[in-house]
Amino acid sequence: MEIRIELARLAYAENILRCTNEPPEMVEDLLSLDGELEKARRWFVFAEAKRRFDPNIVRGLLVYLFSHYASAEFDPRKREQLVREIMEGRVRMRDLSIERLAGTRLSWEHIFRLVGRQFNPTREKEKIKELYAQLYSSASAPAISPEVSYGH
Amino acid sequence: MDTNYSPQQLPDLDHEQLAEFAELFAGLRQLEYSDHPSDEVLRAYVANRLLDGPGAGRVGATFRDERAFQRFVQGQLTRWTRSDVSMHVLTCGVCQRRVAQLRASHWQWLGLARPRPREEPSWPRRLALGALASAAAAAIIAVIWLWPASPPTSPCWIEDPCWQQVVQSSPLKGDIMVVYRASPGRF
Repeated sequence: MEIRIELARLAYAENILRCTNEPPEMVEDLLSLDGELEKARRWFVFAEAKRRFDPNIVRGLLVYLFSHYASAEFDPRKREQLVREIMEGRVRMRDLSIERLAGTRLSWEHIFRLVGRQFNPTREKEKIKELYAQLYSSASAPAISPEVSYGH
Repeated sequence: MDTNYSPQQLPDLDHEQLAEFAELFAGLRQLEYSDHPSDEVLRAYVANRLLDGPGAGRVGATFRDERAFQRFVQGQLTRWTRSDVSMHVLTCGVCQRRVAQLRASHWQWLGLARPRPREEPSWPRRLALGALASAAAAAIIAVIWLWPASPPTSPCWIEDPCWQQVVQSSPLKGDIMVVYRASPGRF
């Protein structure tokens, strides 16, 4: 069962990328059924960051993350096809899945192309980390407001 | 366009900073499945036609209610969503090969369907064609405008005209027509 919950958390992360995710507070219990609330929160912070910051940049960070860490094996053929589609503008972030990105090792240039503009990955990553600390590492962390819209 | 992988393309700093998320994928491994998505479902997945929920832009059906989530956790899917297929293929060697084959044929089909760029003529050829067309146009204009006003070929000198210029109304070219009539007594 643990592996299936692990997969459910990844499926949720994928939904964050495609903007089809439920708000974190709605799925927190389901995604921590194996007791790994910390792992679930690592994804929840991306969902919350999408509400607070530029959602496309947060999605771009997720694309980078999935393309580098979802598979330990590099797949050059898969990468070639995906990179060509990105450079020709035939694929958008809402078309992508973790499986599609796994092993493709995209560069930031490809991420910028998908997002539609350049950004500073280091700074955006720092913002996510700060948000995580604000939400989950402090007892006085503000609760996630459920009324904020998820539509992008 | 360079699509080859080069480790130099990866900025080490950002790569390092995102590395802490790598452990979120650590539990991934190949699983044994008794149930696999059909060819039709996989084709829809490869063509980006499979949705996460009922209707584009809706929230994923996997997390919509507890019952749907239980079905996902128990691997008893009644209907495959995009996330369901993605997670299945990520952990199923058999379906990874099926999807790779479908992607290859999909890619081939897209390659055939893509319009090929027309071959443009070289610039010297285009220059020659342009000059030829201009010369032809100039010649046609000259014939149309100059020929009717020119006197017929004559052995006469202009100082000793043997033709009379006569202006008449013309139905063909505006209101007037210039004609030349032989001077009386010259022929």
